[in-house]
Amino acid sequence: MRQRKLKQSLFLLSLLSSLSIGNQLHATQSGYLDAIKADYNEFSSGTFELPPESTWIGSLSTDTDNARLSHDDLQDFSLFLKEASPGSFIFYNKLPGQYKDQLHQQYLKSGNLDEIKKDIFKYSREVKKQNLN
Amino acid sequence: MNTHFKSGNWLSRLSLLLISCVATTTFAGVDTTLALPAEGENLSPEEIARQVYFANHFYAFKNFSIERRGRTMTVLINRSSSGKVSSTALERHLNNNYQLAEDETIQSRDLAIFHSGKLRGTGMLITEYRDDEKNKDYMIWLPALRKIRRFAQPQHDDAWGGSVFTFGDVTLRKPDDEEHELIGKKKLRTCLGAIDDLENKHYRYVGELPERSCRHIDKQVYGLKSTTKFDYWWYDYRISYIDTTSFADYRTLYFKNDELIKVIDRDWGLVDSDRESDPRALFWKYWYGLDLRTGQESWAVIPKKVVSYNKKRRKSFWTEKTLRKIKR
Repeated sequence: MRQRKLKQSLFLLSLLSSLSIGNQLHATQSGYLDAIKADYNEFSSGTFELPPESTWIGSLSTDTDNARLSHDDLQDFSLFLKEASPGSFIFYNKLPGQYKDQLHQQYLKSGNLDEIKKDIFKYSREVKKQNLN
Repeated sequence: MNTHFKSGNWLSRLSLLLISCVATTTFAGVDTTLALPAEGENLSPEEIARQVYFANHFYAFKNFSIERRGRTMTVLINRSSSGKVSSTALERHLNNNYQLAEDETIQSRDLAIFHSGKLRGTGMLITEYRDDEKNKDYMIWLPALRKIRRFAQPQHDDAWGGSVFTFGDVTLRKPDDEEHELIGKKKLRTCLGAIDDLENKHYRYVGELPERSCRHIDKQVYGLKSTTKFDYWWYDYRISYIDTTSFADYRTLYFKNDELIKVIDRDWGLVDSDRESDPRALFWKYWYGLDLRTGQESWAVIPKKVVSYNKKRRKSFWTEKTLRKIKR
């Protein structure tokens, strides 16, 4: 009987503790909030006071992903195409440089990947014909 | 404030989630031809709010899509305070190009298709009219019934797909719904939020989830304080961090009784690198939200390869015909 009561009270305790944990913020969230608050306070104080050991102030800035859809240089565009459409990239990669440049410029203008893919095959056929001649 | 769904009440859940996941382009006094202000021009807080609205509703594009490419799609991840994670995959197509005489009454059409969970195979088409007085059309394709149904516009404070984002946050809030005040100009100092446990992790529909975005650090931002005009509202005011060049709103802090209650961070990407192009031609890379009252987190991730714009598509794509073609 005692054991059963003990078990029941332990169960209730664990339930209560899990509920209270549920309402608490995750440790990382609180670090994130500290950084946000420090950032926000700069509007009134005019100075940014760096939260100690924060991972939200750019120390983890390994963000090398280019935020643009279309890219300044051909290499970026090629990488993007490789990721977005690996099949078309195989044909694209075999094209001479002038065609690649042309496709890059077209993409910068239109942003339409489907059209670019069609053009890749069109240029591939052209190149093949030229080689046959 | 958020709508909580009862289990089994699938129809209400369906309607809310469907409506929520589609960002409509409400006219609200913001013209699709709103000019980009000259560099160095002093803008009023109201003008800044209108520019933010322009960027958020993709008015810089004739059409804008976050589509499906193979298995890759946009995903909305929700994590409750207890750690339970759920996700919904979707695609969306927006058309702002209605300038011809025959369709001049239409402002935009927006089509959303859901590809996962209970909403799989469901689609929605929203028609927005130029006349502010005219109601929007919300048409939903219900795959179980194989019929189209019409729904009313949701409330501003309804939860967006069960997330911490509300309909107001995503689409419905207009610049005229709030009073705006410029509190300053400074550099953004911190990285944007993300669900830290999931950063860089492999995830269904997106391949690999991104890590927190720190690339906007040191960008010059306006601090815009927007006080709601609604009575007894869930927040008193919100502070937005707005890029002084592109008008991308990277962060919004919500306050009630001067206490921070919610944070929304948005990672934006620039569509075209051409210096002469409109800097407001932006796309969302992700949205992150944290509700401090509940501990709930939401993360909507849009893979770069699913974004396309100004595509040659027939206007018939944005009609009931497409809804009826959706496969479950």
